Formats: sequence, C-alpha cells, structure tokens
Amino acid sequence: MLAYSGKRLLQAVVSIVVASIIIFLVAEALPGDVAQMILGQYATEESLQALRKKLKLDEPIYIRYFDWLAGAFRGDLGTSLSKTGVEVGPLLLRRARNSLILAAGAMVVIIPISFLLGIIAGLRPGSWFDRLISITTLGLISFPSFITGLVLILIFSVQLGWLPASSAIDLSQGWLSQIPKLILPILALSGVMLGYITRHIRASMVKVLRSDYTRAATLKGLGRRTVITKHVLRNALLPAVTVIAINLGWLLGGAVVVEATFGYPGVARLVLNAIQHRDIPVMEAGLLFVVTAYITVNFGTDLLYTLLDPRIRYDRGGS
Amino acid sequence: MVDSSPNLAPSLWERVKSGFSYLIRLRDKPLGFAGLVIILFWIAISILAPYITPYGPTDFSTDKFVGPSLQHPFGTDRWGRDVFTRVVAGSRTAFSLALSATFLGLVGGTTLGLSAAYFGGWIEEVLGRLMDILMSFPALLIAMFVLGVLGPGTINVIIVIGIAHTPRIGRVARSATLQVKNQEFVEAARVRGESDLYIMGAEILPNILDTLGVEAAIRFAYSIFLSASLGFLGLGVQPPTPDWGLMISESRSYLQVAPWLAIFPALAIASMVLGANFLAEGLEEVTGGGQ
Repeated sequence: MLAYSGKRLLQAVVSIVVASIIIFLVAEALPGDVAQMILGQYATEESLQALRKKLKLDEPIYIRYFDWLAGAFRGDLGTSLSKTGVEVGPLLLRRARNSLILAAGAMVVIIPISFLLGIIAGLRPGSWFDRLISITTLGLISFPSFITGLVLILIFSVQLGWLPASSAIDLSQGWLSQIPKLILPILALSGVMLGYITRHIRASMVKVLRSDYTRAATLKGLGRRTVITKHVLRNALLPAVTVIAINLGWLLGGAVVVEATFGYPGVARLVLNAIQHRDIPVMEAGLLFVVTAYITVNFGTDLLYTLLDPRIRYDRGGS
Repeated sequence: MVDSSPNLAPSLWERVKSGFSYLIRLRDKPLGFAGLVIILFWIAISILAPYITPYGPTDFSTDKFVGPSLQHPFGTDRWGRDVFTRVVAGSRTAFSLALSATFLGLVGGTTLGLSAAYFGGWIEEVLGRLMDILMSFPALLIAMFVLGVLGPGTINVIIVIGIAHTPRIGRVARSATLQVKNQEFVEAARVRGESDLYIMGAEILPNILDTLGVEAAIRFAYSIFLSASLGFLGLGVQPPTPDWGLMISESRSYLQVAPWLAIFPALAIASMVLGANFLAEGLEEVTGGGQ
C-alpha cells in the first residue's frame, strides 16, 4: 500500500513537472515581444532594454523557467500584463476559490440525483423508466452547457425575472446575497455531467447484476433486497468514485463555457481572457493551477480507490 | 460478423453490404432510427443550402432585429442578416468542421491504436502512455491552449479537435485490434509472408471497421459539441462565417429584445448532436458492441 502510494505520488509529481515545462515553453514561444507589449509601440530602445533586463528576458530560457518555478513555490507568480500592476498570485487564488464554489455546488446537485436515477434505471434494464432515463441522459450530454445556460437565462431571467442573468459574484458583499447568482451557473454546469455519471452508474449496475457473484448470492438463497444492498451496490458504485473525481478535475478547469456564459469570475475564464490578451504570466499561472488541481484530484482518487477496493493493490499502472 | 467461413477475412464488398445492413437494421431501434433520420435531414439541408435559402448568409439589409415572419422565418440579426439563411448555411460549417476533425482523429487514432496493439511490447507501452497523458486533460482546455498559440480559425479548430479525438479513438482501435489479431486469417497472412503493413491495412482494419464506425458517430457528435463551444468562446471560426456557436455568442447581448437569435442556432446544435448520439447508440446495439 505504502509502496504503491509512493510510486503513484512520484508519478503525479513527474506529470506536474512535465506539464509545467510544456506550459512554460509554449507560452514563451508565443509571438510578440513582452517588453514592447508593456511599454507600447512608442517606447525607446533604451527603455525596452532596461525592462528586458528587469524582467530577465535576456537570460537563457532554462534559467527563466527555474526562476518562474521557484517563484510559484513562494507564491510569487509575477504581475499581470493586461491588468497593470495586479499581482497574479492573489488574483488566481480569488478566481480559484470562485471555481471551487461552483464545482462544489454542481457536485451537490449531481451526486444524489445521478446515483438515484442510475441505480433505479440499472435495477430494471429495458423497463420504461430505464428507457426514459436513457433518452433523457443522452439529451443532457448532447446540449453544450452554453445552450443549457442560455435556456435557463431566457426562462428564469428574461421571462420570469427571478434570477440574475449575470453571475459576476462579489463575496465581499456577503455570502447570502450572492447565492441567487450561483443557482443558474450551477444548474448549467450540472447538465452534461449529470447525464454522463447517471449513464455510467446505470451501466455499472447492469454489469454487476449480470455477474456470477450476484447469481451466486441469489442462489445462496439471499433475498433480493440483501443481494442488492450487500453485493450489487457496493461493487457497482465503486467505479463511480473515479468518474466523479475525473469530473471534479474537469469542473475546475473545464467550466470555461459556463463561466463565459454567465460572466462568472472563475479560473477558467481567467485563463481564457489571458490567452486572448496574451497576458503570459496569468496564462502560465492559471494553466499550472488547473493542471496541478487535475492531477492532484486524480492522485487522491487513486488512493481512495485503493483504500475502498481491497482487490486493487500495489501494481496498477497509470491513472 | 455475418461471415460463414471464420478463417477467411470477409471481402470489401461483404463489408460494404454489412455496413448497409446495419443501417437497415436500425429500423427496429427507435432511438437509432430517429438519429439516422435527423442526420439524414441535416445532410439534405446542407446539400440543398444554396437552393432553399432566400438570401446570402452574409448579406446585410436595413431590416434589423425583425422577429420571425413569413419573409424571415427565423427573424434577422443586428446587421439585418436573415437568421434562417445563416442557420441553414451554418450546417455546412458544422458538417465540414466535424467531418474533417472526426476523419483526422480516425486516421491518427487508428494508426496509433492499431500499431500499438499489433506490435505490442515497448511500442504499445510508449504509445499507451502517450495516449493516457493526452487523455488526462479536458479536451476543451487543450483546445483553448493550442488555439491560444496557433490563433483561432477554421483549419486550427479542425486540427485541435482531431488531436483531442486521437487518444480516445486510439484506445478503441487498440482494444478492437487485440481481439482480432490472433485470429486464423491474420495467422494465415503471416504464414503467406505478407508484410506487417499489408496485414494491418488489409486484414485487421476491415475487421475493426464496425467498432470504428460506432466510435466515429460518437466522435462526430462530440466534434459538433466542441466546435460549437469553441465558436461560442470566440476561439473557433471567425465572423462573418455562419457558425452556430458564434451566432449564439453574438446573440447574448440581445437576449431581451431578440431571443430568436439564440433559439434557432441552439435548436440546430442540439438536434444535430442529439441525432448523432442517438445514431451512435443505435449502431452500438445493432453491431453488438459495448457489451
């Protein structure tokens, strides 16, 4: 167990380091002179030179990479290029907290509903309820979240006027007052994932119900209720842990469409804006955060999975 | 497989016939049949686009923000462009993006997955690891990153979506090849002294086409989904090209006054993705995959 965890930890750290190198190299390869971008096109050659020296742009690339990485460990991620003078570290933290709120909200919606629907549909494959769930979930995964989001805005903001269409939350105004702004983005974010996870749990249930040990448990003379709660549910719901964790990682960086639809100040939209404005320090820091969060969540899931499932130990490759 | 002699590879003609027989067998699968009808409908629309649209997709006029009427069934936008025309023309953008990206992903994924499974050993190990890493990041995030570097545009969107598909198709191609590669007709070809390339292309590939066909339908649906999302984010096809995601993005400032600007492109995207997903589900049932 310990050896496996150690190996898996090493793997996670190596993945993060490789990802950080790729992010840094690609960001540095972007066309455009950073010094020129900061000072504008009328800057004199001397001031450009001075700024390049100050930003260490004249150093070799590997030195700059280690400077950047060391800075990241100290929490110093530089200053933004597009929002002059804004420090990247605190900005990223604020955005990350907002993304986490959104992801947590979506999980609260998704987990109970998908488990309930997936289990009921999986218990009676082919029944009308199962077919209804099958069609509904296919529908859910077919609608990109900006469409779900716009439909929600059209109904609840434009027509009914119950909830705000823009979700530019500001936590300094107090938590409670911000809750109405969170409802629509959370619902829009939940749609696709609710579809995927429900389908996954349903398929997992069907597979376990047809397995030999379920048959054995039934033949042993156990009642259906006991077989299902003691044998089927346990084995069928374990894989769902992985699916949920992967989706949690996805929520932290992949929520960009929902964040853009509602103008929500999350980390994914920060990265999107940084890419569009060639704001390299913000882009690098944002991507590094997303990748690290993603890999960490996957690592945590693998450990949790090993703890929950005694069949898997030591040598399981990859994630 | 409908083949009666299991130790011979079925001919290409038999393959084509069985491909059509799958489509015909969709009749008994309501979901898959509905998907087929929706996709055929959109194919017809995109072929007939120039003949059924009364205006040009980028024609300006002075009739701005006109609601749906006989003259403009889906209304007009802020430049006075006919939304019906743009939705119909957008089907061509959607098809050309999604088909090219799916094709690119199929070529890349099949090449990687098939050779990984065929050669085994360290080649399989290295390719497998590569696909794992690529797959461990959200497709949209990779797309954003790459488009940030390459810049937005039609060709770049196709490349990015194709790259995002490659590891997923690769995994499917690999497991399909593993099931086929030890069968007698592959053995026979090897004994005949055929080259590896011939065996992979002429013996194994035709026998994993069923699986790849289902996967292609799923990836096609996801291509529409992704390209619409990228268009919506402003990273995809650029204005004034009629693109559904882009149209919805542009409609956002006018939701109060002109909701039709968002509704019709949204219906178009939703129906096409839904159709492709239904079709994939039906194909999976009739080809006996997914079990």
